[in-house]
Amino acid sequence: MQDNELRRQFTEWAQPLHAVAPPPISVIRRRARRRTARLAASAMTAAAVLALGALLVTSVVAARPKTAPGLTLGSPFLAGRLPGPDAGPGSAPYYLTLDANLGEPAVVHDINGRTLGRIVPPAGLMETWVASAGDDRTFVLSVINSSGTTWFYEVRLSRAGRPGPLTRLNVPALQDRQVDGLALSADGTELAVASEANGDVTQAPQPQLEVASLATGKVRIWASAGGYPSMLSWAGDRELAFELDLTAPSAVAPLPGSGLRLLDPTAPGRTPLAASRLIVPYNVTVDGAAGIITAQITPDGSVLYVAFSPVEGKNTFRIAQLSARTGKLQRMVLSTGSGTGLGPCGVVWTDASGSHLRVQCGSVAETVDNGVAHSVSPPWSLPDNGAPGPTSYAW
Amino acid sequence: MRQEGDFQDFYQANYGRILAMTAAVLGDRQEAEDAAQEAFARALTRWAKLGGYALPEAWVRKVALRIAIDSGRRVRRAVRTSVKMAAQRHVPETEPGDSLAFTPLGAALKRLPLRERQVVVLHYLADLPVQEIARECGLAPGTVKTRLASGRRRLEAELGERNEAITDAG
Repeated sequence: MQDNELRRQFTEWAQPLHAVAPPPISVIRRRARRRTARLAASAMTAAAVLALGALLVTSVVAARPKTAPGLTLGSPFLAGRLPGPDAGPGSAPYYLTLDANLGEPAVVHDINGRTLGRIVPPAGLMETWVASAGDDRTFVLSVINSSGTTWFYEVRLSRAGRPGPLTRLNVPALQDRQVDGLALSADGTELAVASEANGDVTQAPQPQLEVASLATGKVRIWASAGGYPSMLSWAGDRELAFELDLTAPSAVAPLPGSGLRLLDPTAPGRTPLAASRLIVPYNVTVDGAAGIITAQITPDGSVLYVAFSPVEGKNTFRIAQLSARTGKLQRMVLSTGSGTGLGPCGVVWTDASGSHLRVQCGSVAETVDNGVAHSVSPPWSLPDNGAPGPTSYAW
Repeated sequence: MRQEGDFQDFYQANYGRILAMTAAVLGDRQEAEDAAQEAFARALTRWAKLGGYALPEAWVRKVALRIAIDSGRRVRRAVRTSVKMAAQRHVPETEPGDSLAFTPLGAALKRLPLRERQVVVLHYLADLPVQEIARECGLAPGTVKTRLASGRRRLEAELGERNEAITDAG
């Protein structure tokens, strides 16, 4: 067979596919939103974890969560009382990652990259998201079965990072919905879930935000008429920061009102838009960067860390510290030039007030202590671009 | 740098080509659509940067193929471990292109080892020369030639044709 003949056969074979009309751009935007939300999972969930930075930066990290360690929950739903945080030297730093390559969730040592344990989901269930509480040892996983039902499970790690059994939380299951975000409050009493209908592209996505009280079992749902909530993170257990993407079906850019918002779960309002206030508009420009990539609020609710993508003519990603009250820029945390590679960009860990941070943009990783940055070489593998890798992770 | 509106033009112009490549690698129309859409979604999230590239389609192609290859591995792994997620997958109605896997070439492609299928698709479908494939896949040019030759031999055997030397389009 001539080389040209083989090429001709390929061309002929591919012709029907070349002619396929692409799905509406809104389908791609939805997928992009989901991906952004997933990449931000660390930022969302790690915000509450207060012990990790100690061994990674210097030995000076002494911050402890303002939410009471060892809090008595009195909850029939959470599997038990939260252990105290492991802040300070001697703690066992680890993160939990959902990695398609590993086949099951794994607990990985943050310093040496070793796998400390694996979490085997019940037969027929596949894990989709992970979030962590403020004790650095309590995690919640969302898992889905073959019928499209999503449940939520809790797993506790020992001080050495060994996972205990999975315990199903008494949170109402989601049916035929895709989780777009998951956040557990620092004290482990509130679980926030962003989701949308998991049908095909012809079905209305019906995005919604819900907060389940693990202490009482009550669930409050904010059904969204036209906006997609994602990038969830808790300020303590009082307020929920999230990104709302208001989009017309055929629009490429978000609509006004989109951006980072703050929701008081006890306040009135039946939609994510009505129940929250805008802190950072989606189109804000900060020091030559615009376009929110990831965002998280500190557990004390004082500060928002937001990663922005470059604007026209620039090639610089930036992570900025903004006031969580006013949305005003307080300082730049990280600026990266070209050559940083693709990958997550944002704050992957913070203490309660933002005094100690871990930030990452592609291959550039730094720890920041009271405004002073130190470069670090992360041994971990975080969700990246096309390369196979983890889909969600939490410290 | 191009604006977000340009993404739509880019997407419309390149979707079919990317879909054809992922379909050739995966042999499954639905999986291929999924991989192609995911690649464009990733491009959209980075469009501020990618839009400034001379050839953003090269980035999308690379990412799409990685997703396709990973997807193929994941599917096999899922089968091996008997995770019963298949029932969750939406079974679509017949669409144009669904029968591609049942053409002689489609069937032959599905039987190629993944690593050979990847370079064969890039060579014959994306029209890339050996050097370019090597750069895109992170392989030595000699490795690409070896895989290409092997893949072609298998295709010829499947298609019942005689062997010919590989012509390096580059």
